[in-house]
Amino acid sequence: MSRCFAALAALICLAALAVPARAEGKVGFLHPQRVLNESKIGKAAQEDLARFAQEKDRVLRTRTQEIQAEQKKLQETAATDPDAPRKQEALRLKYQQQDRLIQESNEEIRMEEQRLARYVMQKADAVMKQIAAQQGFTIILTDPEAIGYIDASADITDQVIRALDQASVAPPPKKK
Amino acid sequence: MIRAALRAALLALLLAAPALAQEWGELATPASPVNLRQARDLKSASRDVLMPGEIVRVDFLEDGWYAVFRPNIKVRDESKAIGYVRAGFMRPAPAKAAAPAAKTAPVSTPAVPAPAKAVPPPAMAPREPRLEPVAPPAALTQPQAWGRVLSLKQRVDLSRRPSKYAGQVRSLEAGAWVRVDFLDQGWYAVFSPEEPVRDLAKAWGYAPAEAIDGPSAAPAAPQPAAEASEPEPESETPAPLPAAAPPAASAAPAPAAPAMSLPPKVQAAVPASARPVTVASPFVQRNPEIPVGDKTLHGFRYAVLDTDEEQGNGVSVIEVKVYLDVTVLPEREAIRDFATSVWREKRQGGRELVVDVFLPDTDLKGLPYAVGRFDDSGLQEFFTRRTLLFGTRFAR
Repeated sequence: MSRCFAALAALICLAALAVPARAEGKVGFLHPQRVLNESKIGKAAQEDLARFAQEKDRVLRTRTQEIQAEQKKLQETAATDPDAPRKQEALRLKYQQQDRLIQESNEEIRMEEQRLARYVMQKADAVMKQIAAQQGFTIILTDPEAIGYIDASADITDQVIRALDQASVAPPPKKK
Repeated sequence: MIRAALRAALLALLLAAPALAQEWGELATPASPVNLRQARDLKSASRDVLMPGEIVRVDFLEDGWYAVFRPNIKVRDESKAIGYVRAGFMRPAPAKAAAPAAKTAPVSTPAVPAPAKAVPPPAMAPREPRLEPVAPPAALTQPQAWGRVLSLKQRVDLSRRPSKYAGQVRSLEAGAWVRVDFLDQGWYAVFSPEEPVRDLAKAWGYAPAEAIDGPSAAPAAPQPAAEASEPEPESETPAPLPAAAPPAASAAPAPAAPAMSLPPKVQAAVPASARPVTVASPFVQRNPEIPVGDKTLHGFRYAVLDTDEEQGNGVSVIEVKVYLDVTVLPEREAIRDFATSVWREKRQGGRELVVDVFLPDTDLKGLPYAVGRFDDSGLQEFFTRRTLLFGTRFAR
């Protein structure tokens, strides 16, 4: 009976010792927005997005100019052209179509932003996991809004940005 | 007595069941017209279009996509979903609209749009980083925004006061991390790198500026208090000055002389940002697909990876994925001309055509490097993604 108690006491001691060991898990932090703002690939993604938006803008502008030219022509000939009402209606439909195009363009810009941001963050994620494993982090938080304070030693954002920058300019391995 | 109580409890449970069954997901409405797709994929076919004001129940958020249900569905079962929608487009349904809509609104019938004056509810989608620059919270980027944190380039003996005759309090080995501030007459006050408070009373000791910044450091000239700890070019982690002026150096009590080497806590307090990092490139693909260009067009060897056709907004769109077998990055104009040549070969009357151009070392199942959109009259838009060149042979 006393052996049983001794074994039980030993188990309790072991369990008590194990608790602090588990509590030592390191928590780190990665700021995703900084990765996008400060890494080379993040900056390239911002430039890509800006060019994409410019291209959309160029397309819309061209179409708007075409419609405006048509409208001007119609105004000039409205008094003499018997077909003017039909042309007016066609022009109205074109304006409607243009409004829809503007909405679609805005939507596509938003989707392109998400695609590029996701691409960059996937790469950053792969780097983050390696750094976390190397440095013994058990959890990496990525939501800055959920954090009141973080010590500099737990913030691996700079490391991830640096590693990402290094990897992004390194040539890929030669294929066999 | 017990039976009666049990019966009452059972009855209460039964009455509560329908209410409990509804307690899942969230009633939501799109912010703008949005496609309801067959799968969590932008390329999957669109089943319907959800209009603003149309109330649906959303749940099973995965990869930024919600499964969409009719609002009156009681059982949380993904197989009953009527489609999928990007989470970023959905907003919580207004409280007033949600209650009746949950009972009546069929998904295919657009409901009355929410009143324009209603305060826009916060986005339901999880916060995602944006490509548009957003300043990170200062509390996170500058947790201890004072002085400079640096690694010593040489062994440094700290003095009790800013004078070489004041007596030594401790020695720090080369490579040790410290925070320095209060530069005055060529002497820095030296702190623990983790020290949160800019207070001379917390200083470990004092070190000559030459010992911290190297022999090329500025001569020991008295500086105004406000400029005392201005970040210098070689600073490892420059931090802005706090608004408060430093207290007088003479008021600082010297810390008790500790051991000669740094305590383990300080050694471990090296900021994570300064540690050397070696990681495998995230750009290298595990089993890259390497097609061989078996055709030649516009001076390029290329291979057609895939041709697909889908309906969008009542227009048929043909998507042609092309692999350019090149060793040098072609000019943007050259790719645009190549895409135009592909369009000439593949175009069909009344259909739009999208040419996706992939380059070697890029993920052929991911985003294309260049995209050209054509209609019957020719090229409508063309863009490239330089982001995709990182980690490839074309990276500069």
